[in-house]
Amino acid sequence: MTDLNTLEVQVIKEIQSTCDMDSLESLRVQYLGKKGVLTEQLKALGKLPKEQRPVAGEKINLIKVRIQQSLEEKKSQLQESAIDEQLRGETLDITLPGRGQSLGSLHPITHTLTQIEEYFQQYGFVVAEGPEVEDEFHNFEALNIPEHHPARAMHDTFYFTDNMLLRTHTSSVQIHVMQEQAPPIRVIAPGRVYRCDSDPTHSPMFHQVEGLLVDEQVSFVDLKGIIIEFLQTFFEDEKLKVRFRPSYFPFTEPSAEIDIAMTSSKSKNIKWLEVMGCGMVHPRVFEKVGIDSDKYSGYAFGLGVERLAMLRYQVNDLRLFFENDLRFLQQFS
Amino acid sequence: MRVSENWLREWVNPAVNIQQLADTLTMAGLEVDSIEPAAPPFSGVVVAKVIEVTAHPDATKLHICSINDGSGERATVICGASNVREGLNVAFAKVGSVLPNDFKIEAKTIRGVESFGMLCSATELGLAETSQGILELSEDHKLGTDVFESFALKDFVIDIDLTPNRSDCLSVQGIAREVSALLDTELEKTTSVTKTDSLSQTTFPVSIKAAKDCPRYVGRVIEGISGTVQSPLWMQEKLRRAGIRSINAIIDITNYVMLELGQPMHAFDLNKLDAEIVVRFAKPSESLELLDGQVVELSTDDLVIADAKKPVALGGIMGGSCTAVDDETTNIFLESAFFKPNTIAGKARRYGLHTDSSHRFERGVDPGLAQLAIERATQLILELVGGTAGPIICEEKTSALPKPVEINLAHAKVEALLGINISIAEIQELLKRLHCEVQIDGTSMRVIPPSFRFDLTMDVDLIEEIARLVGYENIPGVVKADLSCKKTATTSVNKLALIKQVLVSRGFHEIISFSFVDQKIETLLNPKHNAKLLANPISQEMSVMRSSIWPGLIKAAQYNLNRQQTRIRIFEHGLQFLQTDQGLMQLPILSGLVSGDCEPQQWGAKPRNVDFYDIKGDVERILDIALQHYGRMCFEILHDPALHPGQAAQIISNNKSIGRVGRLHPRIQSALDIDQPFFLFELQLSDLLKKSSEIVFEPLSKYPSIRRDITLIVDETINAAQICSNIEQMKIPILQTIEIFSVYTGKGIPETKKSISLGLILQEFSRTLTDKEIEQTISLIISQLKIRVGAEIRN
Repeated sequence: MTDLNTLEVQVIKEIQSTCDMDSLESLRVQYLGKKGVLTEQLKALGKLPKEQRPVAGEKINLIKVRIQQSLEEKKSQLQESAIDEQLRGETLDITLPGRGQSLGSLHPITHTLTQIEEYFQQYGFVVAEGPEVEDEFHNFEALNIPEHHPARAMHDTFYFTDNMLLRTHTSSVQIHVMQEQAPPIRVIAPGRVYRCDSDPTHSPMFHQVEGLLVDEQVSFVDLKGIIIEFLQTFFEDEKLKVRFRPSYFPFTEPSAEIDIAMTSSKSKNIKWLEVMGCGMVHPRVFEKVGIDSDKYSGYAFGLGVERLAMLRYQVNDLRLFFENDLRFLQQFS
Repeated sequence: MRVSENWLREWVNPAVNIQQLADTLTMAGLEVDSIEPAAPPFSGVVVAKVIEVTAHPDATKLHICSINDGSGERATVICGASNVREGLNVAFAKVGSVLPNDFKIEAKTIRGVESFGMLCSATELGLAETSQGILELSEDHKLGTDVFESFALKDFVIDIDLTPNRSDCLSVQGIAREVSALLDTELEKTTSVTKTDSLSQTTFPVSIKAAKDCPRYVGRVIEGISGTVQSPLWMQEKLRRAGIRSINAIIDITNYVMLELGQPMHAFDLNKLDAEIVVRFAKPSESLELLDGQVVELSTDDLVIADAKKPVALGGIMGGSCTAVDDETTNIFLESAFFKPNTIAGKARRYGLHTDSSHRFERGVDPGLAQLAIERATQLILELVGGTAGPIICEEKTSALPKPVEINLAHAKVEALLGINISIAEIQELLKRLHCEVQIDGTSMRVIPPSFRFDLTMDVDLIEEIARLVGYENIPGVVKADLSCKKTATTSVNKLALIKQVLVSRGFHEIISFSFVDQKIETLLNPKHNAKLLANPISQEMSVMRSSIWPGLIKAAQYNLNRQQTRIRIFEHGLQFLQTDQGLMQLPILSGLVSGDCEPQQWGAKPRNVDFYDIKGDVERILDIALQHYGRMCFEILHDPALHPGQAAQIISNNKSIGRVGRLHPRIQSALDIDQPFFLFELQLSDLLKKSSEIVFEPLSKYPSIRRDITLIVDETINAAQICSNIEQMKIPILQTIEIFSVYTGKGIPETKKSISLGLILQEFSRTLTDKEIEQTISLIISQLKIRVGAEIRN
C-alpha cells in the first residue's frame, strides 16, 4: 500500500510540474487511461483476498479522484494562462485612430434651410419650387412692380437678351403657386436668387425663403404671431426680442421689416438687426392671379438664408459660403 | 435723405432727444441709418479780422498776418493761403486750440518767423472735403466769437433710408410733417411764403406741348443779379449737412428750396435762352449737353425743356450746360414745374443718371408746391443776391394734374386686416394727423389723402398708415390655434435629404457654387451646347448659365487643391440650364466629384487613389435608395466629350438616361492644368425623386442556399454586364444572385482573354435543393455561356 501512497505523491508532483495541455493529457492516459497505472491497480484488486478488497478498492478510488481533481485544476490553470498569454499578445494601442471612410458634411445653408423648412412644415406649409430663369411678369409685374418702378432699380437684375432674367427674389414663386392653386394656400419656397452686385457684403447669388399663406380671415396679428415664434424657434431663444418696423414692398400692404435684438456682450447695448421682410398680400397681386381679395387675405414673408446662417453659426464673411473651402465645410459635419 | 437736426427742429420741435426722434422715425418706416455729428469737434477757433498782411522775407508764398481776435491783443500768424487779405474775417485757431483729428495748435517758427496760431480752411475744420484757401467769414460775426458755437456746429445729421413710396419725405418740410403726425406735435412753421410783388414787368414766353406729362410749369425772370455771389455760410452749411455742395448763390438757393420744401428747381441763364421756353418731347436726332458734360442723344420719349431752337434741359432730370448759370450770369429764368412720375421714371437711368431732381420727380412731387417754391426762391434770391423779379409766369393744364383720390375705407376691413379693435373715431383722428380729409359714412369712411401723398391710393394703403400710427409694436402677434392642425411633408424633399445623408456618410462634403460659370469651362465640357448667356454678367468667369454642375465642382476642387487639400469628395444639388428645341429647360440635378485618396490617410492601410469603380459605387448606393423597387437600372458605355472615352457610363433606367458617371477627360484635365484625375457623376433628380413604389416584404426561404463558384475565360472585350444579363436571360428560377468576385488578366491567361469569377447563389423557396439539381443548373449556365459569349471554364 505504501506503493500507492508514493505513487499518488509522485503523480501529483508530475501533474503540477506540467506546463502544457499535451503533457497533461499523456499523464491522464498514463495513470487513468484504459491501460493506466491506476486502472491496472483496480483490475488487480481481484487478486487480493476478499476481505481486503473493499479497503484497497476504496483507497485506489480515492487516489484516482484526487489525481483527477489535480488534473482538472491543472487543466484550468493552463487554460487561464494560455488566455492570459493570448491577451498579452493581442494588446493594442487603443489610442491609435480608427480606420475607414471619413464623414462628409452638409453645407451650412442646407442646415439652415432644413431648420426653416421643418418649422413651417409643422404648420402645414408645403415646399414649393419655381424657375430661376424667370420672366418679368412673375418676378416684377405680378408683384405690383411695373416697369420703371423705383423698386426695380433697387433689385440690380441680371438679364438675358430675350427679356428673361434671373429671379431677384423667391417672391416670384408666390405667383406660380397662386396661378396653379386655389386658396387656402400654405407654401414656403426656398431657393437661389440673384442680384447683379458683388462686394464683401453682397454675393451675386444667395438664398431666400419665401412664405405665403392665403385663406379667409388672415390678419397682421397672425403674421406677427408666426414670425415671432419662428425666429424664437430658429435662434433657440424664447425670449428673443423681435421688432416689426413699417417698410415698403410693392407686393404687400401693410409691409414690415423684421429686426431681432442682438445684445453685444461688451456694452450690453441692444442692436437691432434686420432679418426678414413681410406683409399682407397686396390686393393688386391677388388681382393679377385671379384671387378674390374681398374673400381672401393672406400674408407673405421673405428671409435671407445667408443672413440667418451667418448669425447662427457666427460666420463673419458671406463669401465663405461660396468659396467651398473644405476646411470651412468640414466644420459643419 | 440727410437732414440736420437743427434744421428739422426749426420746423417741428417735439420734446424728445435726437435718439428718441430717430427711433420714432425708424419705427414709423423712415429707417434712420445713422446719426452723425454735423462737424467733427474742434475748440478754440474764433472769428478774427486780418489787420495787416506783409510778405514773408524768406518765402514767396507765405504771408505774415497781424490778427485781431477781439481780445485786444494782436497775434502774428503765418498764412500760406492766396486769399488772405487785409480786412478779411477769418476762422482763427489760437495757440492751444484743438482742430478735428485731435490736431493741437502750438506756436512755432516758420522760416525764421514765429507764428501764433493758424487761419483755417473749411477742410481743416472738417466742413468740406476740399477747399481753396482759407474760410472767408461774413462781416456780421462779432470778433472773438467761438466758431463752433456760432455756426451751430453742435448739430447732428440724421440719415434716413427712405423707401420709394415716401417721396413726400424728401424734404425738411416733409419729415417735419411726419414727425408732427407721429408725435402729435404742432408744426413750428407752415409752408406759406411771403409773396414777392413783382418789381419789373419782365416776363418770358412759356408754352407746354406735353401737358399730360408736364401739366404745370411755373417760371419767373429775375434780372440784375451776379453769378459770382456766393451763398452765406449758414446756407452752405445747411446744404453741406444734407450732402449737397455749394456752387454759387443762385444754384445753392434752388437746392436749398428743394431740400426745404421738396420742389426741384432749375435756374437758366436768361441771356442764353432763345426767345421762349417750350416743354415738349425731343425731336428725332436731337442731342443735349448736360451740366455734367455728358452729351446725350435724345429719344423721342424724352421730355425736354427747349427754347426756340434747341433742348436746354432734360425735363425733371438735369439742365443743359449751354444755358447754365455761371460767373457772367446777370439775368435768370427760374423754373419750378410739375412732371408726372411715369414720364420721368426710368429716363435718368437710361443715361446713367440719378439726380436729386429725377429721384424726386420719379417718386412724386406735390403738384401744389411749384408756385410756393418759386416764391420762396425769389424771396431768398432778392435777399441774398439782389436783383429785380418779374411776375410769376404759370402755364398749366389743371385737368391733367393728378386728381385727389377718394378712398372708401370700411371700418370692418381695417379691423379684419390688422386683427385689432380700433374705433372709427380713432381711425379718423389718426388719418387727420396725416392731413387726410375724412368723412364718416356709417360704418365706412370717405378719405381724401393730401396731394403730397402719391402712395395713398387704396384702402390698404390707409390701413398701413393706421397701423403705422398705432405702432406695429402695439399690434400683438398670435399663432392661430387651428394653424397646427394640418401637417404635411414633401416626399421628394425628404428623399433628397436621405440621398444627401448617404453621400455625407460616404465622406462627401456638400458645396454651393454659382449657377453662372465661365463660358470657357462650360464650352470645354459641353462643346455642342449653346449655353444661355447673361446680358449683364459681373465678369467673364460668371457669364453663362451652367448646363451641368461640373464646372462649379471642378472649380471648387481646384480651389482646394491649391490649398493643399488633395483628397476631395464633394457634391452639389441645383438646377442645370439646358437650351433645347422646346426652349430653356431648368432641371434639378445632383452631381459629385471625387479625386485623390480613396480614404483619408490612415495607419496600417495602404493609400489608394480613387478610380472609376469607387465613384460608381457611390452612385450605385444613391440609386439603391432612390430607385428602390423602381424598375431596372443599368450602366452603358457613354461617349461624352467631358469624359474619358474608356471610363464613362450612362445610367439607364426604364429605357431612359438618368445620369452619367466617369473620369474627366485627360485632355480637359490638362487644359485646366489639373494634376490628378477627377471622377464625376451627374444624376437627374426629377427621375430619382419620384415616389418609389411601396416596399413589399418578400418572405424569406427557410431552406439553405447553396453557393457555387465558377471561373470563366472570356474574350477581354466581353464585359461583366454581358455575362450577367446572359445568365439572367436564362430565367433560372432557383438562381438568386450572381456575384462577381474576381477579374484577372495576365500570367496563365492567354493574351486578349481575361478570367472572370462568379459566385452563383441558388435557393428554392419550398425545399432544399438536391445535388443533382445544382449540378444541372451550373452545367446549363456554363454551356449556355459558351454558346452565348464563348466562355470557357477555367480549371
